[in-house]
Amino acid sequence: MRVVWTIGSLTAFALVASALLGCLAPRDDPNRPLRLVWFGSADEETAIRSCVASFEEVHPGVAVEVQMVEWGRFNEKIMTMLLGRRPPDVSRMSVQWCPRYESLGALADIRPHFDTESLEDFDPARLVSCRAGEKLFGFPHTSIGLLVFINRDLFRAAGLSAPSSVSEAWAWEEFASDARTLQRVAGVQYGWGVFRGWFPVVPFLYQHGGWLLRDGEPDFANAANVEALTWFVKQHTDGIAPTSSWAAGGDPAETLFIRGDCGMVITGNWRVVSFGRQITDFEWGVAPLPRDVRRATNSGGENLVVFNTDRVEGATQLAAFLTAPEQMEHYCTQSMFLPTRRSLLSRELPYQQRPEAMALFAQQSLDFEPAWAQEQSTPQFAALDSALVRQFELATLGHQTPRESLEALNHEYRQALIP
Amino acid sequence: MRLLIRIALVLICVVMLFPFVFMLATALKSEAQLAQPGLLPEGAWHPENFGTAWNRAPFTHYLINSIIVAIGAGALSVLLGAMGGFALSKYRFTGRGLLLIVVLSTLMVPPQVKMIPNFLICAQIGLLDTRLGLVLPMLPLGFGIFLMRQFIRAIPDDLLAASRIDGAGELRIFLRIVLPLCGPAAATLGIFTFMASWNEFLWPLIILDTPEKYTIPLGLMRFSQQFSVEQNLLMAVSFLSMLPTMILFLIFQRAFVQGMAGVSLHGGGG
Amino acid sequence: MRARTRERVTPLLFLLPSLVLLGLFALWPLVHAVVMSFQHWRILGDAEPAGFDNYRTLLASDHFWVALRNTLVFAFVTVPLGLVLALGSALLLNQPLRARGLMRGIVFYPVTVSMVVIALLWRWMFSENYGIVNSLLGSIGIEQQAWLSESPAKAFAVIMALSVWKGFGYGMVIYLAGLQTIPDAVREAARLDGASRWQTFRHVTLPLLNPTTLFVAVIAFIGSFQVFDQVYVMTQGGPGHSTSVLVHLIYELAYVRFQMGLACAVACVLLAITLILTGIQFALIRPRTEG
Repeated sequence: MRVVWTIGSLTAFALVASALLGCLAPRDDPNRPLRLVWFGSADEETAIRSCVASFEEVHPGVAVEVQMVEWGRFNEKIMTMLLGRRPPDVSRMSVQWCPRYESLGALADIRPHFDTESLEDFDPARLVSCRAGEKLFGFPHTSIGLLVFINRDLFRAAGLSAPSSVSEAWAWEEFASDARTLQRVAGVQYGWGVFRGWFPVVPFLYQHGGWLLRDGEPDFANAANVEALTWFVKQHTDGIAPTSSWAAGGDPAETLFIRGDCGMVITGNWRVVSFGRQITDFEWGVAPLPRDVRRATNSGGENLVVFNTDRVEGATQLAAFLTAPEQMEHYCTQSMFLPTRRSLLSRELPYQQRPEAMALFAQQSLDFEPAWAQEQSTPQFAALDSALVRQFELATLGHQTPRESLEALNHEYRQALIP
Repeated sequence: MRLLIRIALVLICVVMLFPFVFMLATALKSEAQLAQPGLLPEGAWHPENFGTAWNRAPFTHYLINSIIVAIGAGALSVLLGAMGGFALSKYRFTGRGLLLIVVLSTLMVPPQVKMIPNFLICAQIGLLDTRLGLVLPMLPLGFGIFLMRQFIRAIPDDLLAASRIDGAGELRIFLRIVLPLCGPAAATLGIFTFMASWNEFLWPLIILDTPEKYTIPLGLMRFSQQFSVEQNLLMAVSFLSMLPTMILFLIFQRAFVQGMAGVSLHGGGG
Repeated sequence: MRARTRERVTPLLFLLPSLVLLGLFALWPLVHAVVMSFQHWRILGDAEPAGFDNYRTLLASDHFWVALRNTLVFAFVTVPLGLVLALGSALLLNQPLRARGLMRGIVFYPVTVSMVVIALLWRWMFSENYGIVNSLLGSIGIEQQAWLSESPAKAFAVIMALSVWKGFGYGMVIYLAGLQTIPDAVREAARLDGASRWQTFRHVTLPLLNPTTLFVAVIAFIGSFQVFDQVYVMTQGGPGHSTSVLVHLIYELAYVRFQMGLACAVACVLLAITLILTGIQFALIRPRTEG
């Protein structure tokens, strides 16, 4: 017994000691590799690693270390890196977070290291979130877009045909009426739905002529917004769209769509690959978003931002390389995202799957005003992320009126940056 | 009575195993089959999911890292816990009660709050991106010391007094008498620490930078990303990652019984 | 003189490594959190003193009170339930049964899987339209329930059931270890004296298990106040805030709204409640441990 204990404790100590000796971290030295933080699916990881490999070929002597993190924990990871004074040199960053890190002073001004004339090619609406006033701290990389995914089998059964280009988009009433027809004639449980988020709801506000900010002040509860949100909520309470999809624990509208229990779902390009794999029972396709007084969509996506480290010049080079036309095209076609360069958006890119659907995404993405990018890029808006979803959820589930929700958002916006 | 016991056992099996069956069934489905109603996959089963999921990331490497880290944490925690528990139960000194409270209060800080200060300290000491930095801040010392204290109290004081009279030093008493008698408690603490370390996700995410040092939970990240959760692969890898701790527990079962036998033979009771 | 110094110095030496580690990685963050709760701090840049502002904001905040209430309900439901199940299964599986090692494994295995994975599993199981639970209920004629999406009470009940299911194996193992320290001789003596099984349990076994019960209860309460993962995965605290808990509030304040001072204030409230409750448990269970 004692022998067992002695041997056991000695072994344990040996293990602990070897772990100890393994590893005291080297200090930051000037020739260290560039740190690139990334997130994304397996396809995206493969894509970024091949882009990075190309960079290293063109710039021998500069090594790049790619660190994958989970998107949901991005903020925890980056914040602790910042606090430990070892921020990444370049990081992929969702559009809504950029203003926040910029206001914390973490991002570098890359204008001295970059020829600003070549910024012309970038989609101006997407450049907004890479700037703070005149300062530029990164480049747009990929964009996401919205479309209506439709169940073609159900459409045929109901004798309906869906528009196939943006100019033929449904008017709201036509859209709602087609949804009801799907329910009545084709027998599907729900006519349409959206995924649970603020991203697909805001376009309805814009389509009805609404806005979010006025002169830098929150104005969520303007008349157009209230009417639009009321219409949106009524679609749910009337049973045309699923209310349960709005509770975090409920079945998402996309799941209902995949199972054939919902005729249409408004979601984004990120679903194209997974729908392709998951939907085997019916034929599906895409259609443009509905319109009201005007057409509108939402845009967002990921930028590449450069942090304030001792390698800003090298980091800018890396970020510029990764967002150059060739690399951007490679990454987007591999990962099924939209590019952010006008030269690429105007071409039919060789996507590995569903290129016609991606082409419609690209077409729809033009219905996004830079002013909207501006108002969604304020630091307060980023802090509002979960509050937006919460307020829309409360309205859709009937716990509050749409007006109350929108007024609550005004209040939350004003409270957002008070520490 | 027999019948009641039988019923209880069956109930336990059904309630505890049902989600497990669901987990395995999900792991065996293809992505298209995930949309089917019904528990089991209709049509072909897909055991190759286990291989696919395992190869998605260098899991074998992560497995080795997890094992090293978990064993290291377990060993340290048992040793330090026993030392602390011994001190708090078999010695009287002023401030003993206060120290116990202090030790206990360290359990009451949620990890989300500890994360940033711990990271700052590790950065200062140079423990960033190291295995030591991974293990030390997360050692369940409050838990371990408390657990060992409760068990060591049961060791008769006469035993210790007799050894002191025989001239044994305190360290010897600890190593030769106390430690061996804590068998069941030490095994319990060791396995809990092993498990906590095994499933720890947030801290390794924060402290590690180089993928070579990643542990298994960091690999699980690959399957639940911004826009999708690959249910089947995630369940497959989770199942595989469950196996080492389960095997450890089943082995621990035996050590338990032997330890108990050892205790009564050493005259713990009479 | 030497013996007295020995009596005083030795325990501190034994405690030294632990105290150093705890001091660095647990006590310092605790102090840091308390200090920060009286400041306005936005991570980078300087912190400004704030007096009691943060606490005032909390007391006026609806989200805080809901989270507090939910956390308390969670703790006071899951811990006693878990204790009963843990003790019951320990007693049951301490009997000389066939394959009891395997049975213990069956009770214990949920503890070995990460909470996030288990929460995801349960979420899919309780899916309103496609979950196994609803289809089973449907096959015996019970109406399908919207478990997680309609009523906060139902959703929270599912979360609590999940937590008990996952955690009681932990308590069972500790009770098993505790049962081993009760020599059979003591129990047999009671039986020989004519006591029934229940009386033996109630008056002999249970009191002897007091140190174990104290331990399990204290640890379980402390853990239950820190519930987070299952809430985050299953309801995200919704609808609205109705199923939110204190640590979820801390998370949102710190990492979504970047309001560290407020987050630390919530943490201090959490700490205070936990300390008080632990003290109460010690007072209640401890006197019976002596003698």
